[in-house]
Amino acid sequence: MRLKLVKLIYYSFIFLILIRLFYWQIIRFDDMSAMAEKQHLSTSSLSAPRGIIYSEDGGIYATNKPVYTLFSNPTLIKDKKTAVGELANILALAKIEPTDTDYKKQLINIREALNNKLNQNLSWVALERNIELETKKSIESLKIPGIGFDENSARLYPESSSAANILGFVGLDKIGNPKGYFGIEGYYDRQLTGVKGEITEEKDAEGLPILMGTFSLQDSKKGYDLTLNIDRGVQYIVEKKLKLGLEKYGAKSGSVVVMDPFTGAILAMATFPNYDPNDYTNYPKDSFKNLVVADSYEPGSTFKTLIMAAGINENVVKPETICDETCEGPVAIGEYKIRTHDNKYRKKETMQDVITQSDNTGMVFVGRKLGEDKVFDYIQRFGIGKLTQVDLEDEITPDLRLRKDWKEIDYATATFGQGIAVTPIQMVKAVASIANGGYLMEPHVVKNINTKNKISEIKPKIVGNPISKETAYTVKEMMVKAVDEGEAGGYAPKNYKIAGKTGTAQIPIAGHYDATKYVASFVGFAPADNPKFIMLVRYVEPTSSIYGTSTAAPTFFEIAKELFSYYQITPDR
Amino acid sequence: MKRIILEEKRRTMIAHTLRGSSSKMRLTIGCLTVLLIILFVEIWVANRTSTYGDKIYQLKQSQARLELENQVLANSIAASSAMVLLERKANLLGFNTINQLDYIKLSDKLASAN
Repeated sequence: MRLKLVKLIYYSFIFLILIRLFYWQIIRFDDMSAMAEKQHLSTSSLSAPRGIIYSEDGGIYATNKPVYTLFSNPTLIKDKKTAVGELANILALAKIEPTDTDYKKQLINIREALNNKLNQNLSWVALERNIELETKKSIESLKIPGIGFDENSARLYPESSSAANILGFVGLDKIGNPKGYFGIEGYYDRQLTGVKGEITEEKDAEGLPILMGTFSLQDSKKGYDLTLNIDRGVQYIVEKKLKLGLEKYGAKSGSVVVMDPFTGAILAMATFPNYDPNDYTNYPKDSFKNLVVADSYEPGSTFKTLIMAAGINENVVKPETICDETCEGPVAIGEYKIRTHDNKYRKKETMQDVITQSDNTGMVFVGRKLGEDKVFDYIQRFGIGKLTQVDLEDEITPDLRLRKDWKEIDYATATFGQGIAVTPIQMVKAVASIANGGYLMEPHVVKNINTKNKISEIKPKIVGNPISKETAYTVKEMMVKAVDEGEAGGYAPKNYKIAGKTGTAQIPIAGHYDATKYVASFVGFAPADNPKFIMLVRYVEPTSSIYGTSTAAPTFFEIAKELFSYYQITPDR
Repeated sequence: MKRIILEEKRRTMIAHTLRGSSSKMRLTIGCLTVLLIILFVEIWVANRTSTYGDKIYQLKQSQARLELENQVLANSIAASSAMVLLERKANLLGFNTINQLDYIKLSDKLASAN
């Protein structure tokens, strides 16, 4: 009987074990296997570096740098007061020089912030983000328990503020992912951004990978590298001269764009005031704007080259055509009177004189010869009112008013670049057609896109042919004479043939022109017979002189002189 | 006579069947042997590599460290090659901007020697 009882207990025990095993292995199979996988399978994300931006000469304009998030488990720090003091000293030194007057204030702020964070009842708290490698090493040397680092990547712009308005910067989007804003970073964000990967592997109790275990890898893809047409040397020359000019002429802002007229390749583009993309949060938002593509202005007399080209292309005028009575005094249109800039009027003025003397009434004469339809048609043909499609995120275009809204006075003032707005890039694109034999080229900042397997070249793109080769040649010669015989010629290097035109235009504010505010500009190309570059220099509200002749033109020629030397262009005279 | 022939045929068939079954058996034994060898090799490899996880981890760590070092060095080269710094260095070494360039043209009378 006792034996039977023992047997019964024994079999019951085995039965219970079997039921339990059935429960764990059959009923709870999914949960258990998931828990097991969670314990020995580890999945981690593989970061994809953002593409590098190179200059045309092989320099680096934008790359990536490792940065760290300093975190802590406050419950593991025994002596919080000492930890806060030591960490604050290192973090403050990384941000500000100890000699700086704000150092103590900054140190106190950091201490307070650390103190608040470390006194929270949490097991993970981020103490500081975007810490540099050197700072990380200093903190590690303190050997504070309960402190750790997460590695991240941040953008580094080794040339600091140089070309900042072309490059843009990388910030965060609404959900906290890195995103390019403005310029190249914004326009090519999709190409520059890599694709993150994922690795799943089986790990042992110590967290080490098991070679024979489960393994799956979805490799990350690095973002595409870009090479710009921007040459660091040219960019540096342009920025240096523009900055000097801005100070010398007391202008509110300034911009320069240098382009290859035959390919549309942007060789340099500078804007002042600018900013440092490494530290963009400390600059006003206005400084992010690239004034070459995102700012419109009335081009003034530089626009005369385009209308004169239209007149010559339509065979209604020639350089030697003599202006009629239109040029002999102020031109009255309705309630308005159109005058020359010096209020002097010359009889028997040729079209060459009109360009050289920058005569507004002479341009009204050309406009009348062309007729309203042709004036409007050529303005459109030169790409005014349309985006140039330059590969920069922030490009805008001022709207060209509808044809039906144009009045007689609008056609008259448009001939000398008032009452019509353009962006500097539109102006350069249009005038480049005079330099290259009549073709409208699409401007491009990026030279090629380097994918993993191939290099895609951005090829020159012709987007229009507003004037003939002969017209381009004729207008070019007129612009050369304008430089040689005009007032701006005094600043020009004598042994080079340079074509150019000055411009001075009033700034429209709330429907009328402010008599004290002007935009001074100069557009030109050199060497005139086989141009290596076309350049536009523009100053907004210069105070030393309002005229492009004595502000933008000298800067143009100073840059041109250095470019001749840089490109080893020998004199052609 | 007929019986003899039939008996002969029966014997031949049995011999064929026996030969066939013995070759099937050999094949089965061969397959099993191969499978066993593979199984033992797998066990041996798993056993041998079970301690390699640490080595792989160390290799990955080294790779990450070297990549980081490379990145830091590349960044430091890029930063020290910035145009502003290059100009500063050039000025310190006594290089200045050339303000006046003289070119020798083909039309210029050059000294010649016979």
